[in-house]
Amino acid sequence: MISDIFAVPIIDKYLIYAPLHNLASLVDQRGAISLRKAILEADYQPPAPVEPLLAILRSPGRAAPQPRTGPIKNPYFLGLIPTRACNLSCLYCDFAGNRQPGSRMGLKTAKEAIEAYFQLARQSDLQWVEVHFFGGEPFFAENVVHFAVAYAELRAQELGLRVRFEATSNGIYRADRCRWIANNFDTIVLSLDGPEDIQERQRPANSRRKTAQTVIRNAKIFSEGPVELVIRSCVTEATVNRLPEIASWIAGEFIPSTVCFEALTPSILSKEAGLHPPDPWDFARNFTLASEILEKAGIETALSTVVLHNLRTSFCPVGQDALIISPDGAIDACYLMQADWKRAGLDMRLGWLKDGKFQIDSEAVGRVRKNSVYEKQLCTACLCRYHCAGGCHINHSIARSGGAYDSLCLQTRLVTMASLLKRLGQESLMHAWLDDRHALETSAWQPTDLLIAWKTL
Amino acid sequence: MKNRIYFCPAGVEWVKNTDGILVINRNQSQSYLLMGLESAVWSWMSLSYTYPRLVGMLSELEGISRQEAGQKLKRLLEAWRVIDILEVRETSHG
Repeated sequence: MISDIFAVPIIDKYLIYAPLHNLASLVDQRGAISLRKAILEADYQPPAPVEPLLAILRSPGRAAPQPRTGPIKNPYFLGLIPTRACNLSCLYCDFAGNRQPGSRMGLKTAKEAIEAYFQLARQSDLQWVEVHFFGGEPFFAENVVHFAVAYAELRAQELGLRVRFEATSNGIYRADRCRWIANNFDTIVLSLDGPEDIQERQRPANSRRKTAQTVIRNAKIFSEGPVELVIRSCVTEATVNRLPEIASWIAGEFIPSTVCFEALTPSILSKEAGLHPPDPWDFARNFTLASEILEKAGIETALSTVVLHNLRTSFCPVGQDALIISPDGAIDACYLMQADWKRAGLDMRLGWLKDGKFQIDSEAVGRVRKNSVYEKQLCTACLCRYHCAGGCHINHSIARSGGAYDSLCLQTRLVTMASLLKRLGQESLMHAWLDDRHALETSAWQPTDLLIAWKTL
Repeated sequence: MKNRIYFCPAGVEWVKNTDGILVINRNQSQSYLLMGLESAVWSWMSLSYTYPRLVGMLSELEGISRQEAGQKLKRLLEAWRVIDILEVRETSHG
């Protein structure tokens, strides 16, 4: 598929990337020109060094990923939102806690959601099922979580299913509660932005009490337990140059499998608090430095828009048939708030949990699945299209033409390129490139990465 | 008014595994694998839920009345007391 062969200048070389052919390669200018010509002109005889690449690119390759079709048979996971409330008042969080102090999921709703999900899994002959907890802070309604885990385990045993539990959490609970989570959950995604000064500044408690020591203690409990710990750190303009320091601190204090560095998504609250997203150029350079530090400790570094190990048409569970249940029984494709989708002109409602059954609107499923990268003109000629897939459907505006990259695009493009160079064993070139702002801009700002779309090289 | 406190005797430890909760009574060199309902109740007790809340959660878990759940819980706790993995102490309040 020649429309999926990308080329990006990296100083005086060209990074060739063809995700559907599982190919990444570094060539010089002559090689890139020859490759382009050979792809476009069937009778052109390329120089010998290019032939192996050409052979791979002319092979059928993998089929491009496609959005799901048909009725929901294999949901990505069941998401439960025990409450939208939260005990923290993170300066950048405008999606839930402070705006939703009230509602809490009833035990009956949790039970019925799990039952309906497991019955669907049985009908589809699935062996593994996944229950994810989101908030607010899910453990702020801890009895719902404690009940749901027990019920899911009980029913999974009875139905011959294997169940995985995952939660996204702020880490504010007593040590005995934390040990229970460590022993009962498979994965915990813990929001920990950095050492104490960063954590206290960005993630204060509702009561304004200091909380960093509690989260740090609990991160240590998770590190010692059987649960997989994923640390999620929100990176701001003020912390981006501290990423290597944050990475060293995490590697020295905890045992996570992964550290996820995510740039701040700006909001009204974050602006009021004086927090701003990081400069994308600084982010890419420091992310790479941090990832090298973490790698030495055996820890993976992740950025949600740079997932190179698989190809996807949607950035998130949206479109993958995740069923996310709100306290009132609404079934949504996205865990963000309804007001947020509406603001973005989207409707993520799939249906309702009613009388112990999923009542899912098939038209709504089709509508949600259409939010794929193929509908995003901005992404058509970007080498990240199958990895970033356009980013968050709600928070990342893509109403722009190809090449009109924003900060999120730029950091994603740069980190993707750096990751590919690293995979090719080109660390020296990668560092020289990351230290050369002009070279970075040349790579990141090119309006199309499609090799065949280049007019000149 | 009397309150009952349930606790594990010294020498009783437990570990969660994929099948359930393995309770080890070192004093008697015995172990018990609690599965399903028993595992759920043990797990909730380890989180120090009050008796009425345990009854409520058990009632919802099993889809039975609170009265039935109360009786079931009582039988379960008694069974654990008999095999010495649980002790009961009564305290007076009032």
